[in-house]
Amino acid sequence: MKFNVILKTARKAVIELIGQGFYYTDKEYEIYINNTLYTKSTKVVQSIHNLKPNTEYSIYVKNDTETSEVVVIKTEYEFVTLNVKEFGAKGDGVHDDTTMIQCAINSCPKDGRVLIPEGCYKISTLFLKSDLRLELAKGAVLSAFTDRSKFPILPGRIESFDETDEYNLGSWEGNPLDSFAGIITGINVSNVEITGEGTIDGCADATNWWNNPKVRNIAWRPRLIFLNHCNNVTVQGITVKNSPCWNIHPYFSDDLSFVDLTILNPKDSPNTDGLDPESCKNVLIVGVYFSLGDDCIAIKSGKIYMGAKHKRPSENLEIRQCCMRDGHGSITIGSEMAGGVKNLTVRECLFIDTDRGLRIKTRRGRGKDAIIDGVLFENIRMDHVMTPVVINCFYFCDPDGHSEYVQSKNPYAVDDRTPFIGELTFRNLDCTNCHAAASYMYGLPEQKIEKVTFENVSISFAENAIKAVPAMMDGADETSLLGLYANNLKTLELKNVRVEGCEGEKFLLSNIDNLIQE
Amino acid sequence: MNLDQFFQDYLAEFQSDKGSLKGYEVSLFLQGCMGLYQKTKEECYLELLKTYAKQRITEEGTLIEEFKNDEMLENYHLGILLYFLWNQTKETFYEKALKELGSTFSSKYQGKNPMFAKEVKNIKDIYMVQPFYTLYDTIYNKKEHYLEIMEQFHTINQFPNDCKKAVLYVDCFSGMSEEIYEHYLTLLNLTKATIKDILGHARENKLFLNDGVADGSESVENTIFTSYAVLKSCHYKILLAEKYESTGAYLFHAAMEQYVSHQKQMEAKSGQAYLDKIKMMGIFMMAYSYLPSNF
Repeated sequence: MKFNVILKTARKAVIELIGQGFYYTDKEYEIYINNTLYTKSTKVVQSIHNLKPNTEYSIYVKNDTETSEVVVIKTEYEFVTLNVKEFGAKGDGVHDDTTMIQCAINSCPKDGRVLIPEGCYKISTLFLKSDLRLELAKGAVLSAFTDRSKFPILPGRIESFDETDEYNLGSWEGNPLDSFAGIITGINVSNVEITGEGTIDGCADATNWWNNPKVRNIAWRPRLIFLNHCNNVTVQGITVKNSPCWNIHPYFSDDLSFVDLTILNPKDSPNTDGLDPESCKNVLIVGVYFSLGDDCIAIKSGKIYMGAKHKRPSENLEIRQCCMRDGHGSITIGSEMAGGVKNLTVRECLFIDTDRGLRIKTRRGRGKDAIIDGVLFENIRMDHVMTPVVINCFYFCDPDGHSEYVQSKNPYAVDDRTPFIGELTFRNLDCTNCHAAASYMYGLPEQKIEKVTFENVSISFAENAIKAVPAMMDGADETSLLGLYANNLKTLELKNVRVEGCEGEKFLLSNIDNLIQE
Repeated sequence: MNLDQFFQDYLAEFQSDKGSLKGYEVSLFLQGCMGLYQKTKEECYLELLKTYAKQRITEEGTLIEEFKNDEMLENYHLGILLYFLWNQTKETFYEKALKELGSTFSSKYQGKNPMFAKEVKNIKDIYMVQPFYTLYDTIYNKKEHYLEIMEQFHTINQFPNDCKKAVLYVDCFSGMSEEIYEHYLTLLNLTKATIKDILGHARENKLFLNDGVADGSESVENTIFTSYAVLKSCHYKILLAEKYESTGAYLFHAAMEQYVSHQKQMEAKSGQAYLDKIKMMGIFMMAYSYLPSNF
């Protein structure tokens, strides 16, 4: 057995087992710290809590047949701990503890830790600051109020005095619009850790934030964690749930790590995407469990205005050892991707009961900077995913979504409005109990998808396959047991691809310039 | 001068049996009433608006036959009034009537704005349709004609920059959705550019009242129209309030002072002069509804 220590702070460590499964290990194993059993686990990525600062620990793991080598770590230095109860926070589930906790946060020195001990702390919005370590202990719950009047508003666009520039704070679905501050908000902060075994509960339900969700009510709905222009932020170990809308929204932020989190929302909750990096660079998402009402991970880079103005793609993202279930797309790119998405790697993940595995949504009008390139999916297990791979270049979003311009399958001239999809690779995919289609890829006739490679991919269908629409575009009717559909690709490589249990042709290929099939 | 009282006094003068009047001038007056009701919550404004609407729609929410003739483009401005009354009272018959009115866009004009099918266009006529067409598309048509609406705004932009064009833009802006942000921002920028051009030209040529050059009823009219456009634009963050609100307020008071002193010399009970007064009171009310209290 082998493992890596992938994260180490003053009080935590996170280990990742090598070759032991996808999110869950094949066997239960034990973790020993200083030769004492710490815990038993069935997760590939496992946090170790309650370490002491500036201390050496020896760690090894074992299962019924193997024992790993011992790895010695030394935790980071910590200066002081600021316990929020000493700042007057009550944690009784009634008292508004926002100001008290905010006071502790604002007072935290470099290398200090703000500790939220066990208890239920009612809050509205907490603002992060640079050089902050915020820990939610086991049994600590940050429980959000749902009264909108308690939440500050982040204006979308503030014009400069000389009228030549603007300042953007709020964001909603890819546009710079007034939105409530997140329950946890970071604006222009660096070097932040949010860790622990505690929970952040947005307390949203159909009587409050999820009521009439598509209509702006004073401002657009808050995210549970909103990071705006932040840098070097780690979120580890905690549970987030019942978010008013997107759970975690990093926005124009870089060097981010999301490790061993649990993100939960009811299946019917509106727009509760799990983690939506938007125009972010260098993002690591490891060991995260998602079960929610919309896309689990949706990678974005703004709608037309933001994409054209900032030209900032989401790039260099690695997603590993995650479990996505119940949502719409396990991994979605778009539809707001006018700034592009580049260098995305997804490996060793488990997708269960989602509508789609990988879902790319784009359309004419997204713009020439809407470039998707360098996508690799490797070692993925999917079970009861309706359609494993969907690339839809005719996504019928926005008011003109059903217009002739967007939906025509005849070629238009390539111009400034035409998006581009480059190279996508799918390797070692095991997809069982599919329903609608083996895959569904439809590129633009005037700018075909550059290259798609399927290598060592196995797709089989459920016994009682359910009918569903394979892609949200005009002309894609409900279907089930459809083979691998590909239309308008320059190069399609199919190496060792098995499709079993479909009705009709296994491979439905049209307008493929260069087909390589082994 | 107590402006609240000044406008309420005029309201009493504008008797309800004048409800048969219609057209551009009356539309501005009704819009002024809507603005002042929102500002003051005085029921007299709402009652006048309800009375006016009552003569045009039935209690079941259908348009009275006489006003169904959609060749009379001015009827479309009724849609703005109906939307306002529905929002304020939540009486569903108002919404039913405004939907009936809006549905003629698709039933008679294949979803298009009838104003732009005409060969000869002028800002005043466009003003009678465009704000409602924009609002209706936003609220009831899922913004499906926004591309077309933006083309219409670019057509409007071919007209010379003047205060009426600025008012048209700003009154359409309030019916646009921010969710199609690129179009929302385009209209914002068109409105802003128009107003800044007007203000710049007026400053350069000393065309503001009290500059010692401009005078006369046309100047008063231009000034108060400009004031409204500026003040409403500040409210909607089209213009930076910190920089422009004082200009809008200055223009308002300058126009008001001139107008009141001239009105004492004139009394009109009928004819174009009477309609002009209705128009002027309307635009003054519209501007006043956006005048901040500290001005």
